[in-house]
Amino acid sequence: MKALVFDYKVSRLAISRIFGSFFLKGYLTKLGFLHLKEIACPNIKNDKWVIVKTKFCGICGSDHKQVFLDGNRDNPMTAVISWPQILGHEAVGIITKGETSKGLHIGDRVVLNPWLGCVPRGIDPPCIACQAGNNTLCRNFTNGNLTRGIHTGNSSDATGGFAEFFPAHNSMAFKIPDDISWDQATLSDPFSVAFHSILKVSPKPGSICAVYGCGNLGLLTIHILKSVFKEVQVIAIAKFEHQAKMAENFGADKIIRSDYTYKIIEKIADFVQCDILYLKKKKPWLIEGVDFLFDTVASPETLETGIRIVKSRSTPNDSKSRGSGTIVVTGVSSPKRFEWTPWYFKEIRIVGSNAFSVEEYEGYKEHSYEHYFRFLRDGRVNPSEMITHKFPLSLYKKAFLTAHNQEKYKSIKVGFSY
Amino acid sequence: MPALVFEMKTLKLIKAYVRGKIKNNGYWKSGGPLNLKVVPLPKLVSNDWVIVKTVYCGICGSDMKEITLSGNRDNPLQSLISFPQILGHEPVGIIEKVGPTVLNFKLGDRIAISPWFNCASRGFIPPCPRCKQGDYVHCSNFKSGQLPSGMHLGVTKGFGGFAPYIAVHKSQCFLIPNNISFEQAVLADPFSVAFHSLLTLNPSPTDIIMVYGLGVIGLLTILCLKNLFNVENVIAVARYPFQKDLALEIGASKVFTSSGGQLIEEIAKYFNLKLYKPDKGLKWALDGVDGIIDTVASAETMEIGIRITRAQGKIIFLGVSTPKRVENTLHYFKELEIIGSNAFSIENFEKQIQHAFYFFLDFLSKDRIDVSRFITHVFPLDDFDEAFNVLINKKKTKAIKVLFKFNS
Repeated sequence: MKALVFDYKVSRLAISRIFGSFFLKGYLTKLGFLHLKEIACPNIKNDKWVIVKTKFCGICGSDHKQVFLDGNRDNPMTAVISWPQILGHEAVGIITKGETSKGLHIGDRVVLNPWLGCVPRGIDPPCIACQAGNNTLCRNFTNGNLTRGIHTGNSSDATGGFAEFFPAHNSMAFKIPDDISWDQATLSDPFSVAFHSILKVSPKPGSICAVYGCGNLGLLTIHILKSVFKEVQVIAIAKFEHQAKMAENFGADKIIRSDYTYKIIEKIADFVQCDILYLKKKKPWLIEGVDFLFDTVASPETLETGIRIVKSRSTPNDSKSRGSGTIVVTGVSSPKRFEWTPWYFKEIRIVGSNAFSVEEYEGYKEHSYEHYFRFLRDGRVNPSEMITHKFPLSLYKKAFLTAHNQEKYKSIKVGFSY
Repeated sequence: MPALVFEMKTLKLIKAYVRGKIKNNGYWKSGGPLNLKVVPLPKLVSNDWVIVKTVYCGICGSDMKEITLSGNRDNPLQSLISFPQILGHEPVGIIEKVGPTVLNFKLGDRIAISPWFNCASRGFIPPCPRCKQGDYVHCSNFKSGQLPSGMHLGVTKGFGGFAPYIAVHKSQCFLIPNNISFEQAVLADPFSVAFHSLLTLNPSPTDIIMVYGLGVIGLLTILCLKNLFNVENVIAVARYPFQKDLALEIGASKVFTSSGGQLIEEIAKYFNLKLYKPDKGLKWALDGVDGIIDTVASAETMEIGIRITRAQGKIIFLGVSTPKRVENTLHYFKELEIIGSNAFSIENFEKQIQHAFYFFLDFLSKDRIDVSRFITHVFPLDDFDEAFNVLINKKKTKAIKVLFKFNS
């Protein structure tokens, strides 16, 4: 089968970086890490696994960050992944092999839950995290019958959706209900990431939420806040025109578009009607501000700005529910220094949110994908317009450039269709 | 009266910076920003203010940071403060004069002073919503009203504790019960800082809690964990052996004195944690301590804390080290909750809601805590250079809390 193979070799790092520094495409040359190859189809590992013929696979922010080497060598995640990898974890397709698995049959349409916890690894009894339904915090990412890896795409055994076929444990393949389209199903993963992050705080009616970044995660966060949660005001901080437009479509109450963080801070102050403190003209900060911030970028710049626009926390004993003065971060960019003094002074709570798992909402305790299917069926959400570009695998260079250069290509979700 | 005054004057700052780089005590040599100066006696700001004759004033870590110029030029808190400052914000003393509308205090009363100004101190009636709910540290009026800009004593032009007399608003005064000495009461501020941070952490007795840094706040944190929160398993990280000894005596189960990768290895060994080894950089664990009170909050303590706190655990940090790069990927991946803690105000503990200082004085009266071992050095204000020398040579001097004492 055709597959996009990413093989990390320190010896090739320098040359890739040199080419890449001249032009983005330099990361994608023959001397780089990423190659379209003809390789053997994945095999069934045991009777609990199925093989899925890929129909579509979205490119996640983390995929193109990896391709364009936007990472640091002291990144601790290198301890829990293995090479070579076939990236792609936002995959949907049709089961072509593996009949015995519970409730799954050849010909079934499925969406992948990529997390490689104890169950796919054949570890029984499962670890404390998997027992509690948090397989994103599994204690066995380096154990069991799969190579190191946290989810499909970064374990050399669990190859991903940037190939014509991919393997899935039966616990990882969710049957797509008939009334849900391929496009809708493909967004299960990013939708769940956004949903999980919102459940970290569950904003009450009347709350003012800001969403930093209007890529996939930001837009989905806005969409969920406005259409699943009740009476929440949402401020979208968007970089590009087409993102702002979609944020507006999803119902954002206020759109802030600015290249300058000081202007973002001033506009937030204007929206919530609070005083602005200035160290210098371009270094304002607020003691009051928005109740919650969802930082989908988590770069030094957004973290520094975030702690300046979230209001001070004032309920030290409120340790169960996370009240005002909270930032939820759904990812990470390359760490750098940022001015963090207001974090302590305003007593801000920054809580990390990693992917998704079994979630409790509206009386249902089920996997995030099931919540998503329910919202879709009830007509409460429909994010499919976010899929802006589809490419065949052979045009992978164009696909990655399109996903990376969002302004030029007006891209939001880009993926490979087969 | 004499007062220890810090001026924000570029030439003086440069002079101190250069001298300080050569020798530590260069920071406070005369001619720099810090000088013992004669200033006018404080006056009642309005009718509900009092004048206090200082008995003791503690020297805080943040005073030392200011004196040794360890702040950052882009620190936004600079927008809230004013100069020249009389440093010192941990004073206790005796009421010398009361304004005509002060009914709850009389001459001769022994009081501990909460350094934070609130709307009442600034003459605002009604107060801002924050002050109304007792959240004085996030007051909306730090820059307005009848006082110069500033959050508290020591950073507000003309108001500070390193002087024999201090003017304060009555709402900042707390009567010291007869059975409590000034030497105990003077720890009200650092105790309250530790207590407030623990109320944010809200540990249960079975949690494993780590205290990072064993200056006076770290030690008081251990004291609170053991005596007020009944936490069985408290571990700590100390820099010096004398801190370790004292921490073990007041109830820590284990104290580490290493740093960096070595510290991670030792903690992992102690708790039998599985460590993950990345291509480069520090090892990390998915399990670990349930919570950390980080009294240092430097890039190193944050980076290590993130690596040895269990997934979905909490890190409370207080303290104000200068920001640097922190490899923070695990903050999101482990779903950690990292919360800042700033000073103290009205607190809620054991179904009682009152100011942290009242809790402190109560705990002392009821013998629930013993703070007698934390004051190691006392100097008259004239010998300030010696006091600061003691504080920057802790390894040798074994200093914990150093006080200025004023003539009675």
